[in-house]
Amino acid sequence: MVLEILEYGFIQRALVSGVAISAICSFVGAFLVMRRLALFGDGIAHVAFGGIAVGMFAGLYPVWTALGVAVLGSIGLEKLRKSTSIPGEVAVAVTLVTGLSVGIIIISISGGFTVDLFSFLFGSIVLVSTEDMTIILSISGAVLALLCILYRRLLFVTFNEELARISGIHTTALNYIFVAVAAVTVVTAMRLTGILLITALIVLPTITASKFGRGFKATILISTAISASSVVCGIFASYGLDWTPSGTIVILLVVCLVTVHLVFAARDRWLRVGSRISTRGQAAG
Amino acid sequence: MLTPIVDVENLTVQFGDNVVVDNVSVSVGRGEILGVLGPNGAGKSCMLRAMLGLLPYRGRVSFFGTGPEDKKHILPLVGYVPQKIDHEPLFPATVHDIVSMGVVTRQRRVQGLALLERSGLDWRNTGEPHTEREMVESRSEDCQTCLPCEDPHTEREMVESALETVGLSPIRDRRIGELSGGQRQRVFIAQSLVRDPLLMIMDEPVSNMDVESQSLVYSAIRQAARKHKVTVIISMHDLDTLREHTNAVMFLNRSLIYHGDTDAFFADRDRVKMYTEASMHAGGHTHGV
Repeated sequence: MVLEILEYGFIQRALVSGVAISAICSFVGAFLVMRRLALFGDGIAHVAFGGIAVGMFAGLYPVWTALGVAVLGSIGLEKLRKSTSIPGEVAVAVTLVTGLSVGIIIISISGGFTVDLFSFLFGSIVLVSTEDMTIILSISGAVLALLCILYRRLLFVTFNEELARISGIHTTALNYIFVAVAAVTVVTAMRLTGILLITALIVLPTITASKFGRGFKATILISTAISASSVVCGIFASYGLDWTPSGTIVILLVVCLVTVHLVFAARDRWLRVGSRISTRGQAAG
Repeated sequence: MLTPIVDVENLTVQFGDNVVVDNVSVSVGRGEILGVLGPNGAGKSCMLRAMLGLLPYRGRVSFFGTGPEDKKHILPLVGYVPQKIDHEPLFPATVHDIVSMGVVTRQRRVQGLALLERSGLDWRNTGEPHTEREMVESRSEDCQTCLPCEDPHTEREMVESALETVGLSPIRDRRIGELSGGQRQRVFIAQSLVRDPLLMIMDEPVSNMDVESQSLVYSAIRQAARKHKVTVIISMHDLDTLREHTNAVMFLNRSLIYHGDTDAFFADRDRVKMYTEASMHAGGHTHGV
């Protein structure tokens, strides 16, 4: 049955695009989560919603307008976070509601919600065309290349910005570049999970992988593996069960997270009991 | 007269109406270990952070005789160990990862050294090697070199050496979040050392360490100061440690009370008593004397 499904062009495109998106989301997600900006993706996705509405209203390709608006929104968010005393999560909330409100107003002016708009809200990975797939792969390649080049500097800034600045890293410029890259990632990933579930792809694999990883690179690789597996299994399962792919993928990510945490909790308990028994044995001996 | 490594003039740090550092002036020479002493809330951390540009201040701070416009080129020559580092508890980086961060900007260090040369400061007169051959030779016989580190093998050696200096080699693969406060402090000292700094600014770097680790760290600091003429500014509370490891003292209680030779500080019993009483009054504690 699997081979039969793989013969469909739309499934092939969905799988290739999905794996590429899961890789960039895991890479960006690791840095966002460790910067305590887990909801950044959600905020930028809602800003991108405003960009999509602008594109549809103006008769432009909505993904490009969403990209432009999301990058500007992310830079605005970073500016808000740095130049005011507003905490990161509050800055995200402000950006989120602003983007969403602008989108809703433009949509109401242009005559209400359309099928296309729903595909951006809830994801439509199986509707990805060859052209879309080429764009997704190109953007993913560029994002991965840039993150690899900046990896060590980003790691330092993510760990502690003050120490990084004293070491000679241009932290302000690097932060702006990073949030712009994160915005591009979020807009690219919208085709997979949609605006409403984008946070899942950014946060859940990193949190799950952080239980395994001994280092940052290992965490990113494990996170990518978890995310890509969930995407592949989710696409197959959604085809077989006739469910929506985005919801299925996110449910699989949640199942992974809960399972890994339960297994690690059981292991820790087992180790504690073992250590207590060993201590008692030594005391008795 | 030799150019001071650190020259602070009329430094004032203020939050609203609250003046936390008041009009402090101090100069620190090459290879000097300056102990910054003061009760809790005396402004030690604020002064050190302001010197590094991490807090807004009034006055003038100069490193290696350069102007404020050169500060961004000079800072890579400065190793900073903060009192406490705030990071995400889940941060999945190992001890080795954190220490390796110190060599990310080696190229900037080279630019900083070039700036010192253009300014006429003979930074090479610090026991550091001159030619590339000397650098390679010195690498094999000593842990801290001034090589620009592009070769990953060399970089690994430098990181391993810094880890060994502070006794962290056995736990190099442990996650930073799993370490005790004292072990974490040693990680940040190793990160500072691996940068091969000409100046180290350390804010109570051993406050959570056991005696053995403290001794290891102070021995590394003294070796850096004596052998490589690294200048060290270190804030602390412990009078015995101050007497044993520093050659100059700066007693701060918002404003500067004393700056001078360590022996001269301890020769004046009234001054030591003043510090002890100020510490008691501030709710802190002192050791020694």
